[in-house]
Formats: sequence, structure tokens, C-alpha cells
Amino acid sequence: MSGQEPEVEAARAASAGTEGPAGGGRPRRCRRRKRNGAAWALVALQALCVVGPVAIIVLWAFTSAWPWPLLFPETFTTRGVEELFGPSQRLGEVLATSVGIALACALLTVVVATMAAAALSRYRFCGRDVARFAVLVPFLIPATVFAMGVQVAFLRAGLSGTVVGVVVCHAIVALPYAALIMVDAMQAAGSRLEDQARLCGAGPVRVWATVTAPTLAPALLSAASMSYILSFSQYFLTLLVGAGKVKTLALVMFPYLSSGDRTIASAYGIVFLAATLAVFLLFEVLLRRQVSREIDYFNG
Amino acid sequence: MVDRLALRRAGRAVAPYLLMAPALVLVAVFLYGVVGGVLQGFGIMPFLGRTDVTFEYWQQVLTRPDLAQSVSFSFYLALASSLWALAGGIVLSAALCAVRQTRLVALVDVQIPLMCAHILVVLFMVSLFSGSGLVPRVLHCLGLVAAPSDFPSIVGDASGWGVLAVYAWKEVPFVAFCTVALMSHVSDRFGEAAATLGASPLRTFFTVTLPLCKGALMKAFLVVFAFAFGAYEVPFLLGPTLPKALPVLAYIEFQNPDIANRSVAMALNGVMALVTTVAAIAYFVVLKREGKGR
Amino acid sequence: MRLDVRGVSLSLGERKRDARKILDDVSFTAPDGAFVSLLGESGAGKSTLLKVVAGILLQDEGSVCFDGRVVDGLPSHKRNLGFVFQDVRLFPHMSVAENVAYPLRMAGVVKRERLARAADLLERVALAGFGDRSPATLSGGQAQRVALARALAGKPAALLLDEPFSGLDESLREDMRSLVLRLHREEGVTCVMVTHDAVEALMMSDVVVALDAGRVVQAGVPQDLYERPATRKIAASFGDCSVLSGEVRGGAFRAAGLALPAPGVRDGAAVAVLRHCGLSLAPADASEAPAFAGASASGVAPVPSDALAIGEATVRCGVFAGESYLARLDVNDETLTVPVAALPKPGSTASVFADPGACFVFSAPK
Repeated sequence: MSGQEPEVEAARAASAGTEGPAGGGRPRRCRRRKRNGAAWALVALQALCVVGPVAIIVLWAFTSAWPWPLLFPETFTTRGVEELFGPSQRLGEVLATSVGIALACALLTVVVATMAAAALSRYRFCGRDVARFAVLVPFLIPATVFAMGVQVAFLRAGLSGTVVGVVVCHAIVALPYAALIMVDAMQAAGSRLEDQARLCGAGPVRVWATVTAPTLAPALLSAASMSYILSFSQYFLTLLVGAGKVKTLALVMFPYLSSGDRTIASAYGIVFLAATLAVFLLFEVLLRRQVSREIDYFNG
Repeated sequence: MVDRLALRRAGRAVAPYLLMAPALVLVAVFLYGVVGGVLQGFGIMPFLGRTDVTFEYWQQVLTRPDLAQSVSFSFYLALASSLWALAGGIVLSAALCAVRQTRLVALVDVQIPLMCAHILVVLFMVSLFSGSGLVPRVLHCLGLVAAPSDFPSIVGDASGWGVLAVYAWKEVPFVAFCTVALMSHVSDRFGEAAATLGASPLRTFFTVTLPLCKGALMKAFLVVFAFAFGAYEVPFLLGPTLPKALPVLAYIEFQNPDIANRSVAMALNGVMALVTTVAAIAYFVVLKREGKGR
Repeated sequence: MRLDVRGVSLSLGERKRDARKILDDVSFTAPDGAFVSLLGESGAGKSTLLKVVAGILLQDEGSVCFDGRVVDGLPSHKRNLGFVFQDVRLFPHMSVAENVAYPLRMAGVVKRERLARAADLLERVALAGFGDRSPATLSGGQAQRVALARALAGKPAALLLDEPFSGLDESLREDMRSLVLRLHREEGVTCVMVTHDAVEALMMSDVVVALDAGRVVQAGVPQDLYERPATRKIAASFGDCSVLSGEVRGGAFRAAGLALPAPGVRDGAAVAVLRHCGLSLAPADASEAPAFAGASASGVAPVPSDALAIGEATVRCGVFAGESYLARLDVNDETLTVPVAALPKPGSTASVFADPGACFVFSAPK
């Protein structure tokens, strides 16, 4: 028995080494180290899979010549960036439209989904199962089917080619995601604190403002960023409902992908990612400010 | 005075319906679009004054030679990518649980992939795997690939591996996103109990954690399946010319100025809706069963 | 404030089909300034009743009156009540002081004044200086005291307490009880407390309302419930006791070799509740006395003069219970437990003496 121990120790030391600086901060039980080593390796692999392509895109955006089979570009250019910010692309306008639509969609979706989640988690009513299912229907029938089907109706209703029409359609697609997040959170939170607030003399609106919203802030922002992302990255639906008049970033970027101008496509990709990331981090900061104290929700 | 109690009771009875109303309006718009489209497949186009039901377009669609190929290709894409997403998602989620994810890890491993639009992921994969991409260059350096054309093309390959690669990159983190919170809760709560009963970590995972996460995994699987079955842009950009994925086929017909082609497109959409409705029913059964378990 | 609950009934359930009647024609009165306990085992409907009074749940029938005014139409936030839940329910995103000041904030009191009053209240629950802490940093007892301060902050017309002490350690409960009673006295506020602890109800209340399966089975001053319990469950809820089943014939209860007077109980199957404090034991045969007395010189355990010999039973065993020993006697298939001064000899026969005031006989439900 004792003869094996040095080996085990060595293995532990080795796996502790692979944990790297990120894992070093917290004391952990020795028994779990080996398993965590494998887990860290997987997590690191996934991080590489994510960061790698992003890095290549950044490289491509500034590349003018990258002849086969070199591993690194030969010459660099700012052509992509120049063209992107040039007057012909109207990048500012496109960005403003995209971000505006996505923010409006996030707001609309979160409000609608939270109301639905409140009904589904706080009340027992006839048809609740049907309602619960109905909210999730946009998950299950592809948005392409919806987009082609609704095009004529929107055209006749005057919504085709309008920002409002696009926002409504994006909200429909985002609704089930946001509703799932909100239903889970509201079910987990229960109505304990809300009942208590009512008994302290708070009316329904003030219960919402002073207790429900602050305690559900993480879920609300999670639902909002999900809706924002879905709207921001929507292509087909925007194409059909926007009828070419509503130009979002995803729409403007698409032709460069199929035509193969990779420098400009990559430059657009960077702008796309930066814009999403910026709003996501903004949400994160909002969350930090809102939740200055620790809430049970975080601890799980 | 009794009336005021009745009033409060009525208020509580109506409240859930009022709260549901906006969501149901959105879903109604959705269904209106879907049903309207499917009806166009039967030749019903009130906006053109056509109200007669005809099965002509359905017949045309169901008898065209490329339909079976398209349906099975789309089905293959959806099933392969959702199974891969499920398996990868479970592994990633378990790994994230084991390392007690920090904000940064969650951001890089899960949230950034969620943020990237599918078309952006197409760009990623093309930069990596196309003939002039990085991977063939690296393989060339290792002496495995002689020329760009020796590497299987990511665009238009009959196996659709480019499409699958995009979905894998995008949906594995999605499945992890759907399950990681539940999984870490479950493994915290029951993992130690199982461990004290003598189960190894791996057995604990397969006998306790995974079964308890089944509901969430099932949901994520079906969402990915339905999405991959009906999504247009990735198979359009990376898919083969033949067979075409169902949504690509439908949109080509849809774009045709001839109104008859529009009906054909809608009939194709009907086929798509039919397949995903079957998935929807499966989903409902899962929900029901889960509800009973509670 | 005088609180009247008149004929309240309530059924809960997902659908009409599997609806359960939680409250069945419940009526009681809490006089102004009184401390009333709602006593019952879990599932008796006492918490539900409190939620009806608070307006969280809507009754199917009956009404709730504050000072004679029907309040059924008022939603809970307009009833001006203080409510302390068993699970405390402090708002996690507010400081302790903000929690206490919350009802005042809802009442529109300006910030400076409400924080001053919160600090005052915290001092009264012995938590001065805790105002800036987060609720997560409090111990169970501290959190419950904050909840109590918060419930009183809005000068409520009545204070409702739902098992306020059951989440606390035994050592803390006594302190909390006296704190609640002190605040009750100082504020003169009507209190209604839900509890499953009969002794707690006796000690704290002016009026005890006993509930069983959604019905009021007895209401009265604590002495009434203790001395004249209306049901077997109430009789058995005050301290240790033995429950024997037997039969009543002609005003006497019989079970094996035991007989108890049972005036006014109709003939048929019955149960007797014998409180341990009123029971004593003597050897049936004087020659066996040393076996009971053990080492003690005085011999037989003292039998109170007003005790009644109720018959004989066989000693199964004796156990040590700290300040005394307990003799377990076989009565049919049931056990009668009697406190004794020394370990009895198993297998011996003993005479049982009982204080008639500690024995209660009830007709058994069919």
C-alpha cells in the first residue's frame, strides 16, 4: 500500500499543475483534483474552440494577402476597416437600427414573457397546461415557415418593411426562450416575499417594483440578453419581414459571406461581435449595480 | 359586502388570463403566419381572391423526386447536429460543474457562442476549414495535405459536414447553457449522498445526475432539432447543391415570381411544419410526464 | 382591534374534483388587545385560517371582521396587519433597517423618520446597531426578531404570527416567547398566533382556539382546555400521557384490569387519556414492596391522598428517565406509563392510582 503512495502524490501534483492559475485560488479536496484536471482540460479546449476562430477573424480583417500554405498572413491592410467605416456602408445607421431593434425586442419580450411567467407560476387556472405549451410553440415550428407564411399578412397590414413589424417577429422568436428562463426563476423564487410585502402594505405595483423585480433581476437580465442576442443575430426573418427596407447588421453582412470577400466579412464579424458583447457587458454592469447584495438566486 | 369578496375572487380568476394575453397575442400572430402559409399550400390565397382548396401543389410536392432526398437530408442534419449537441453539451456542462465556473469561464465557454449569429459561425468555420483555411494549412505543414483541393471542401460537400460543424460549435454551448445550472444544483445536492453510498463519480453521474437532468436535456435536444431542421441560412451557405435542405428548397420556390411556385413553397413548408409538429407532440408528452413527476 | 371570524369555509385543490375542504365553518373571536392562539396539529387548517384573516387566501364562505367591520373586500395590503411567517421572509436585497422600515415606506413616511423608527424598533428587539447588516448575516433568532420588528413597524391593528418559534432552537424559543409577550403588552396589539405546541399556547394566550381537520373543536381560556378538554387530541396534547382504548358501560371505563369513572360518556367503545403527572403506582401485594422501593428507605412511592385506585396491571419493564423512573405496564396490547420513584420489577403486578382530574374518557369514533 505504502509503495503506491508516491505515485499517487505525483499524479496529484501533475494534475494540480494543469489546473493553472485559474484553479489555484481555492482550496479543494485532494481526492477531487484528478477529476477536476480532466474537467479543466475540457473547459480549456472549449475556450480554445471559441477564442481560436474569433482570433482568426480578427487576423483576416486586416489581411490583404495570405498565400497558401503560409500559417501567417503575408501582408496586412486596413482596407476592410476603411470600407466598413466608409460612407457607402452606412455602418452607423445599420448599427443603430440593429441595436435599436434588438433592444426594443428585448424589452418587449421580457415584459410579455414575465407577465406570462407570472400567470404560469403564480396562478392555477383553467387551460394552464395549454397556455404553457402555447408559449413554447415558436420553439417547435421553424421561424422560416412562419416568416414565409406571415409575409403576405404583414404586407397587407402595412407592417412589412417596418421596424415595428421586425421587432414583433423577433419578439415572437425570442418569447419561448425568455418565458422558460422567467418561469424557472419565478417558480424557484415562489411568492413568499411577495406575500410578505403585500402584508407590509405594498400594493401590487409596489410589490413588483420593490421586491419582485430586484430579487428576479438576474433572471430578467438573462432573459433580456437572450432576446437581444436572438434579435441581433436573426437573418431570414428580418430579410422577409423587413423586405429589404430594414437593414440590420446580419443582413448587410450576409452578401459578403456568400461572395467570399473575407476581409470585409471578417471586419463585419468583428463589429457584430463587439456590438453584442458591449450590450451584454452593459447588462452585466446593470445587474451588478442592481444586485449590490448577494441574493439567494446566485447561490443556486 | 359579499359582492366585494366575489369581486376580489373574480379579479383573481381573471388575472392569469390578462397576464397571459400579450404572450398569447404574439403566439397567435405566429400561428396566423404558419397556418396562413400552410393554407396557401392548399391554394387558398384570399388576398388574390383564390379560396378553393386544391391538393394540386401538395401532389406536385409529394411526387417531386428531390423531396424525399431533401426531407431525409434535413432530417439527417437535424438529428446529427442535435445528437452531437446533446452529447457535447452534457460533457461541457459536466466539466463546467466540476470546475465551479467563474464569470470569465462562463463568458468564454458558453455566452460568446450564444452571442454569435449562425452566419458569423459560418465565417468562423470557413476561415478554419475551407481550402485556404487554417486547418488545411496546418495539415500541409505536417505533410498530410498536398494542396487546398485535397482537403474535403467545407462548402457544398454532400455529407454537409460544414453545416454540422457550425451547428456543433453553436449548439453544444446552448445545451450546456440549458442544463448547467440544474446540473450543478443536482450534483451538489445528490452527488455527495450517492458518493457516501459508495458510487464512483462516473457512476454517480450516470445514475443520479443525468437522470435528474433528463427533462432539461430533452427540452434542449428538441429545441436544437426543430431549429436545425428548419433553419435556412447555414445550409444555404454551406450545404450541397443536391440534395438541398428543405428550407432552402422552399425559399427557392418562394422567391420565384410565379404564384404557383409560391404555393409549392408553402406545401414544402407544410411538410416542414408537419415534421416539427410531431417533435412538438413528443415535447408535450415530455412536459406532461415531467408535470406528473412533480 | 377586535377580530371576528364568522363561519369561514375554504376548499383548496387543483380542480373541483379533488378539492379538499381545509376550513369548515370556522368561527372565533379575538377580543381587542387579547393574545389568541390557534392550536392544532399540522394539516388542521390553522395556517390557512391565518392567511384568510390576512387576505392572502379568499374564503369560499363566511367573513372576517375587524372591529365589527367586514373586511372581505379589502386586499391584504389594505388590512393594516403585521405578519410574521415561520420562514422569516426578510427581503434579501435590503438591509436590516430597510426591512424594518419597509411598512413605513409603503405608508409614505419620509426616509429619515422611518429609519429613525426602525432603529428604535431594533433597539426594542435587542438588535440595536444591526441596521446596516444584510439579512443573510443574521442568525435564526436574530432574523426572527427583525421580522417581528418589521411586523410591528406599521403600527398594525393586529399581529398575526404563523408558528413563529418552530424554526428556532429550543433554547431561543423561551426568549422569543417572552419578547413577543412583552411587545404584545407594550403595544396593546391584538395577537393571533398559530402553533402546534399546546404548552406554548397555554403559557402565552388569553384565549386558545383548538382546530382539528378544519373545524373549531374547542375555544376558551387555557385552563378550560387543560382541565376540560373537548377531544382526545386536546387532552393528549399537554405533556406526556398514555392513551388506552377500552369500553364504557354504565358510566365507567374499563380496559383489562383497569376501571375509570366516566360520567356522562355514552356506552360503547371509548378511549382514555391518562396524564402521567396524575398517575402513581403501588405494589398489589405488600410483600413485593421492596421490589418497588428498590434501595429507598421510605418504601412505596407516595400515593396522593385524593388519588383513586383504578385497578391492577402487569409491569412489563421500567426505564430510567432522568428525574424519575417510568414503569411500563401492559394493558391489553397497549402500554400504560406511570412515573415511579424506583425501578419496578418486570412481571410483577401493581396497583395503579390516578388523579381523576388527570384522566379523561372520550367515546371512540366508530
